[in-house]
Amino acid sequence: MRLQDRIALVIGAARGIGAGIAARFAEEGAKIIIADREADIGAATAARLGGHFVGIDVAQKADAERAVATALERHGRLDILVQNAGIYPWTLIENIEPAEWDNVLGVNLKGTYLAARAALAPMKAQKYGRMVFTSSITGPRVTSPGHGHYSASKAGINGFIKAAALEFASYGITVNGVEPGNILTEGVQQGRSPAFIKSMADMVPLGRLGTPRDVANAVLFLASDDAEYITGTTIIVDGGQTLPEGADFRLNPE
Amino acid sequence: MTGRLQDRVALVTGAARGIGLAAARVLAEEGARVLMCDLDEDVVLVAANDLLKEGLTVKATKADVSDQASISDAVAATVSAWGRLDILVSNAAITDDTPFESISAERWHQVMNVNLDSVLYGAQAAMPHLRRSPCASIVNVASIQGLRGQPNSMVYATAKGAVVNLTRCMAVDFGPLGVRVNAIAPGYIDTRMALMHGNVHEHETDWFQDVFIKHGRLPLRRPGKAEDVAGPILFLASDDSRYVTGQVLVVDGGLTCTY
Repeated sequence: MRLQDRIALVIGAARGIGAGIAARFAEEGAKIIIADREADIGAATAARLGGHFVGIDVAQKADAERAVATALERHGRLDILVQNAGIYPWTLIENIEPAEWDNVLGVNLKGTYLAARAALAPMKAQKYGRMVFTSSITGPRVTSPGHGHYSASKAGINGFIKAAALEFASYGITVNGVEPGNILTEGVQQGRSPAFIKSMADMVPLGRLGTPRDVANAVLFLASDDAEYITGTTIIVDGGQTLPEGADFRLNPE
Repeated sequence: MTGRLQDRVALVTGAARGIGLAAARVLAEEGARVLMCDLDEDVVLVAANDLLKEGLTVKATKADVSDQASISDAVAATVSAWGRLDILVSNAAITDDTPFESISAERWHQVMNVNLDSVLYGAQAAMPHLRRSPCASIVNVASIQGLRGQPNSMVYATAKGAVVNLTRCMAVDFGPLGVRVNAIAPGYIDTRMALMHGNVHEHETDWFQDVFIKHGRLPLRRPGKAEDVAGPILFLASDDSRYVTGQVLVVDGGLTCTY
């Protein structure tokens, strides 16, 4: 198993991509701590994976520190940090009030810095650590209306990944990220018709939306020994969605 | 134990040494049957024999990847040996540091031929088989030099930059056919290709030690090993990357984070 007995803290893992990451890690032998704002679902996910749950708001410094402290109390070390918590309200920039901006940047970007900072001390002491952050193609590569704050937060994560990779490298800590495309989570399925979902899939060269497991596999790779010489980079997991200029690739003769 | 590439068949070019050899070993260790090809027939035969002795399923053949017929023969040999082809690792390349004033047309075309044309030729020969595979993946070994500018690197870096964009274009065209195409961009890797004039490894030079190690331009503060690149090649070749296509995976110890 590729993560045998590694201690992994996965923040934002009650549902969706984060739950997929935690489940994939557990399959590979890791011991899991799930941190999330959603206590009921988070605890159920943790129980299903034989892990432990801690309720936190990652935008709060004390909460991020408590999540790391929980891992240390239970297992004495922390090998892997995944910060996947993110929110994506749909609001046009002309209507984004400062409080909403602060909330999105608080969870997505500040939460990433707070989690990294909290995990740094134990990883530095161990001279070993793997940090993997969930960014997005939305912001770093492309965007769509209504995602001004979200795009800014995710592009910010990519910059932070490079800075943290550089500062933490001499401690044996690598810092990388994944940039998911359209992933078929409960959140994405909600309120969208099958026809609309199919139209989304038609825009992807591989012809389907991604699954949480698709993203989890990339995170697993970055957290594993196979990625030992990789730091400061991101892997785009989008089925090729951000490659074509238009939709005419679908006319490719079969 | 079942490997991550159980029953699959792979062709690795430039597999006599370095990154190609490390990749062939890792793919075979994960259960793939691997045809190792190289221009250097003697060395690739010995390398394959070593892997065979460890119980891995590999064969070796001579191939000149700059020659369309030769790479077609290597693909045909793979399919005739094992009946299918799922993975193509286009790794073979030559290095070049000719300064601008001295670049001859012959040298320019030779480097383009070996480093770039070979990627196209390999894909052309492999595609009829890859599109029949349920788990097809092409992995092209590019370079961080294909993403940036570097002194005395016009020929090599231009070829590698073209490999990067060829990878993206292939991914778009082959996506609907179920074939994924990605590239690896290694940084400084301790292989024979890093040997400079006078048989000195570039990472052993004073400037490398000073700038890259002491001053931390290379964050992980060591040159990579061929094995450091083989794991990422395995990732892109395996189902772990089944929703990843058209991407360039940088394996450089953090080098391109700095400036």
